Amino acid sequence: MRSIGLVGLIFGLAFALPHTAHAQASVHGFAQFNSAFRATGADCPPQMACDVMRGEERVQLKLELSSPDGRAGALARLDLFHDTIGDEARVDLREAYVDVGGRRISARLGRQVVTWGLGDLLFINDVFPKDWVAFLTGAPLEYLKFGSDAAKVGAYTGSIGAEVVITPVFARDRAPRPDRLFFFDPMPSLTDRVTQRPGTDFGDMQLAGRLYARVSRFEVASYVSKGFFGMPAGQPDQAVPTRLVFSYPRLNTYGGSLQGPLRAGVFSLEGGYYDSRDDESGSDPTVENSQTRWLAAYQFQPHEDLTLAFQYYGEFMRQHDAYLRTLPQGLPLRDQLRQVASLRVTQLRRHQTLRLNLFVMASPTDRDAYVNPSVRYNVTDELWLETGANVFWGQEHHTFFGQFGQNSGVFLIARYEF
Amino acid sequence: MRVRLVLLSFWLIVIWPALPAGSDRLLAQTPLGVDDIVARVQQAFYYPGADLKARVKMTLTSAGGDTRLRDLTMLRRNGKSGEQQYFIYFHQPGDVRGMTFLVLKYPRRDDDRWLFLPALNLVRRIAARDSAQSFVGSDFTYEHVSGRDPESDRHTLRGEEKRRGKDCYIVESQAQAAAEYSRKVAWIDKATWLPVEEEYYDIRGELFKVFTADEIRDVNGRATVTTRTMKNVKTGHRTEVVFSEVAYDVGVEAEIFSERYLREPPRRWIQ
Repeated sequence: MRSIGLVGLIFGLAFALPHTAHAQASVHGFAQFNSAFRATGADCPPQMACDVMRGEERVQLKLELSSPDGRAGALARLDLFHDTIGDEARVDLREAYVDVGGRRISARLGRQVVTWGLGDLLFINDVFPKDWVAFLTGAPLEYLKFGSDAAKVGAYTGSIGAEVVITPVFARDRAPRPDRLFFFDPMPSLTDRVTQRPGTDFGDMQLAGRLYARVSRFEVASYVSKGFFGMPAGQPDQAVPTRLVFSYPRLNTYGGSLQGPLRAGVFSLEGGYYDSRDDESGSDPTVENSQTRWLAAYQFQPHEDLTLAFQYYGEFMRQHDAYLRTLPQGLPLRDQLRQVASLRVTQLRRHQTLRLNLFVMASPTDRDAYVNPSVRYNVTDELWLETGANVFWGQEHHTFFGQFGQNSGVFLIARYEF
Repeated sequence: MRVRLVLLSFWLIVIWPALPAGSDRLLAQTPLGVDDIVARVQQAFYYPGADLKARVKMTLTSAGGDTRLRDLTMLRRNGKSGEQQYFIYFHQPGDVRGMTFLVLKYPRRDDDRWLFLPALNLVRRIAARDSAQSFVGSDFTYEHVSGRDPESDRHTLRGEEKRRGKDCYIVESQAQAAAEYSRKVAWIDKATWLPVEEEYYDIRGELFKVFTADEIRDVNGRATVTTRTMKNVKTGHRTEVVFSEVAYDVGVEAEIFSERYLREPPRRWIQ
């Protein structure tokens, strides 16, 4: 009922607002069909969507408003979709915000997607919520991120900008769920599970800040955040556990980045420190230890419409000794250092209407890999088709990519934009 | 004495409208050599005004008659010593709607470029070769859009003739630095210093692209190519670009050309 009201409100606004005093309004969007199929022939548990991982029809409506002088505006992005697996129709308000401000100070209030940092599918200083289910089940990449209900306030002068994002209520990442995906579960026999989410006290408010500047041809930025891990930590309730209690431990991050030209390409450096506030000594085996993360990347164009991008990423666990000392028996052991390298090759053809993409990411320390080839063709200016595969591989079933091995499959997207 | 002063004032008033002002002064002088012609073309074609705002519609047509539209707003601002900044906002097609593109252009080195993808809320700095990279899949390269350093070619004056109804200089340019062509022949209108036609020859000496200025209009006293076509004569693919709502010296602020406005497109300028 609420969603019908919401749709009605947005449409009402869309039709009423163009008639108000010279405000500019536009309505656009798309209709989309999206499906994904598991190609591993895995034996799925009964509650899991097995060979079909995604089957969905979706309509997105995007309403934009702008005041006559252009100093204020608003945007709403509303998705209406039907999930064929669960056979249910849903409404998802992806974004809804109001922009106000002037030359020096501006604010964006409401549900908004915030993306910071320089990594390609590797996140260090981007602590904003992510939808891993969408990513793993072949949704378009834009669905990896979803909106935070937040206020972003920015102050700008010359080539320097400072932004603060205040998120009053914590939004967790959408973690893989057993009804759609295989993933590593260290305690599969414990089925009684409860989740405790951070509260709505001021102390639980999430803050993130970024200060950035362009210095000559280089861009420097520093980042800081106070909040929670997006993925939960599972804590057994007692020595002989009967129940698993999931919670979101506190996390503060501090980091920086640098980007600039190097020969004919662009280099990127990013680093960050993940301060695990609820496990400073590293002796709580259920909570992630503090970490140092870093990224070095380089991209260049060897030929017209061909781009190569390399990344090297590392994660170094602090207090690995304490981690080893307290790790319960039977749980897989993680190395102190996790390294990942990636290559993305993008080739455009036929006047950039055909895009061939290959993304390969592999970890020599985890001995696992993720491969994502895809082809996208803009049939007309309105209609595009994309097909591709998500292939996960790992020598062990508990590593970052290895745990998703049985989710390898192909996906298809057809989108009509209006 | 007093009579003289009055006469001088009178003479100044009469002559004033004929005196060229500011950057236009260069355009009004008689050319000395081919490099001078090329410098004037650069000024008249890529640098007129302190800034520019235009709505740009590009129609890409394949040999088979298939068409694609790219509809964008372009803001340009001239900086110091030949530097320029471009801000582009895409209105159409749907899959790039709301995308913004920032180019910081420097003489004698590759430009810096950023792209903002609204669906991901992501600003990405992109590496691109200016000389050969197609702009949004069209027959125009980045260099055609924002200009090529005159020093990257060796220019020769090949004579004068009437072309497309204009008295023209014929300037031949041999590429000395990376380029999509090895040789270019341009017909430069003596009155406006705009190229009315250009022929591009590849490494084998074969003609592969032809540029034509199909419509030149006076905008605030500045001759402006409002319709232009680049045709690839080898593939039959062509791109027609129409500039509408062109305005110079509208006061585009320097700060528009920044990451902030990539993420929050300046509504005042793109409406």
